[in-house]
Amino acid sequence: MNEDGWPLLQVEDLSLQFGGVVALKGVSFSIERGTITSIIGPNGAGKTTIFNCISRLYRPDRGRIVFKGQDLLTFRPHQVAAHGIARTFQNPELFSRMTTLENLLLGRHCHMKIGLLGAAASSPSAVREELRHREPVERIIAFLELQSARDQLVAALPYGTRKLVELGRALALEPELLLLDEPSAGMNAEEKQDLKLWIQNIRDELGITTCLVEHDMSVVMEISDTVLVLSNGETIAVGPPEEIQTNAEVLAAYLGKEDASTGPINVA
Amino acid sequence: MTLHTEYYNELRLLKSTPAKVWFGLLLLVLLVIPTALEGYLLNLLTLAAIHVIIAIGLNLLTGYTGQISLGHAGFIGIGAYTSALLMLKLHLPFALALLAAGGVAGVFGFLVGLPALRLTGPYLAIATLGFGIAVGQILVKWESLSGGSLGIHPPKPSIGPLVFTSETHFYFLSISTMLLMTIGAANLIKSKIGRAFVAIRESEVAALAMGVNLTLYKTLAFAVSAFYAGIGGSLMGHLIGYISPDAFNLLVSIYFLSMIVIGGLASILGSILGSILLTALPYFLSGIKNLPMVIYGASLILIIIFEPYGLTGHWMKLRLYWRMWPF
Ligand SMILES: Nc1ncnc2c1ncn2[C@@H]1O[C@H](COP(=O)(O)OP(=O)(O)OP(=O)(O)O)[C@@H](O)[C@H]1O
Ligand SMILES: [Mg+2]
Repeated sequence: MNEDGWPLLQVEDLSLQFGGVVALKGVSFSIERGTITSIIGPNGAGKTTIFNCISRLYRPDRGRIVFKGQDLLTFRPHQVAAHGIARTFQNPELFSRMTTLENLLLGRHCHMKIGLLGAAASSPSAVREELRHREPVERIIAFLELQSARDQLVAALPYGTRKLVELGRALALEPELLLLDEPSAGMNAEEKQDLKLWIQNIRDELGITTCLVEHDMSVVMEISDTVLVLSNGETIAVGPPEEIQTNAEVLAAYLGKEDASTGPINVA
Repeated sequence: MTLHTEYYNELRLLKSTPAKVWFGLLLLVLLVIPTALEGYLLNLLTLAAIHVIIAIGLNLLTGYTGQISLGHAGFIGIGAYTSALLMLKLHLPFALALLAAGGVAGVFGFLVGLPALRLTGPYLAIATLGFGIAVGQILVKWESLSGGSLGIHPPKPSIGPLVFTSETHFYFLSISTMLLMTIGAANLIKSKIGRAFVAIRESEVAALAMGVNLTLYKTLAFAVSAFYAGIGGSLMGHLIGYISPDAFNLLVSIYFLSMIVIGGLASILGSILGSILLTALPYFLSGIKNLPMVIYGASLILIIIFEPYGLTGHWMKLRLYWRMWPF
């Protein structure tokens, strides 16, 4: 397949069942380069499951995922990163007994080429490579204002900072597609404000396409170019945030019966 | 480029001037020791150096990568027999036999690592335990090759015209091999490969998402660890001059695990301290049979419960205290 004419990511008819539980039922959507897409939906809607299919942690029963014109389902799990997809996890999956710097350096893993002997001998080329990859990592540490956490063990950092380290580690990969699973969960208002700016800067300055799963509607509505609404494993609406905010079906799924009549989703 | 030199300093093994001075002093002490010590004590130090090699290898696997091995005696045995047999039967020079001992053990490490991809915790412990026992059994049964349970006598090693006959020769051979392999391990840990090892220990799913090939790195950790064990086994065989299958039993595997747990998991310094302590212990407790084994067991349990960082934890605290003094 050829990259021309394809969106960055195209998901077609994705379906996955766990025993009797239907997690995804024929989900289709596409993500264009340079956009921010949010996936929203009630608990258990299947949002994380989509990410896990893209990371090749889950194998869908049916459907297709095309990344840059290539069939992503032929990648092995560890190859997904090298093809340009980085992600964070709903519950931060960090290397706790490593420092922030070392966590971010793991993001450079697939860009580094040094072999076993070169590494054991700390050969000049090994040192040069190591130095070369420190620079983008230091830039990200400055970008996310993580300087004070740089040399601390991640286990000792507060929750909000740990989420940023995870974001930084994903950015260090220099991905083309960044998947963020509930990036603002557990953050206070100020941290959320910074996060919104950073996600927009990631698109505008770094040119990275972002797809996020998010429960906080103020984050979703302010920064998304496209919103995808999922309920019980099915897509119930796709569109720009203004449209989603007034979509009756979304209101019903999201707010349940009691609030569906009271108007647009609260963007407090 | 001040930042650049700063990174460069972080990459170096000996960062500060005091560290360099201490290392220089250590080398000097190691150099003059044979003039002060001889006989049994010098041999004990040689043995400690060999134990350091094996303990560091085991720590790479268990401490850094988080994969337990109860079969390390198997790798040590494979190394000892490979080296001895290559010299006895094929008359290979010692240097080649030594490297081959590491290489063959490394290949077995790779093979043992393959099932480790699917096994964790107690299941991996059982699988590696099985491997260790199998090696011992095969060495007993395959008499035509191994000499069976009677064992064989590894020849005195030589490199070029230099024949290692005296205790002092063995001492320098073991110490220099130990230094080389310690530096190699320290470099490896600071590299992309060492970081991937630790990442696997901390979170396999995150390592995968960062592009770490779990298959490759887990089997690599097993292979490198077994390589260290193989080199150690070879040196041990030539030092003692006699090897038999029962010298590589389960207790030996547990002995090395105690070294790294007591010294400190995921620490090079810990591997060194633990090896020296456990090698010296029988010397001071030689009067009472089996007491050393009881002490390993008891200290292992105590350390796991109370001091998860082992001896190195105390060292760190001491160093911190020193730096803060007199506050
Ligand atoms: N590994 C699994 N085994 C069994 N069931 C699973 C598994 N992963 C997800 N599920 C089920 O699939 C459904 C969708 O789960 P998913 O984690 O994708 O929801 P989500 O939209 O991310 O919800 P939340 O907002 O709570 O994170 C749920 O019913 C969940 O229980
Ligand atoms: Mg989820």
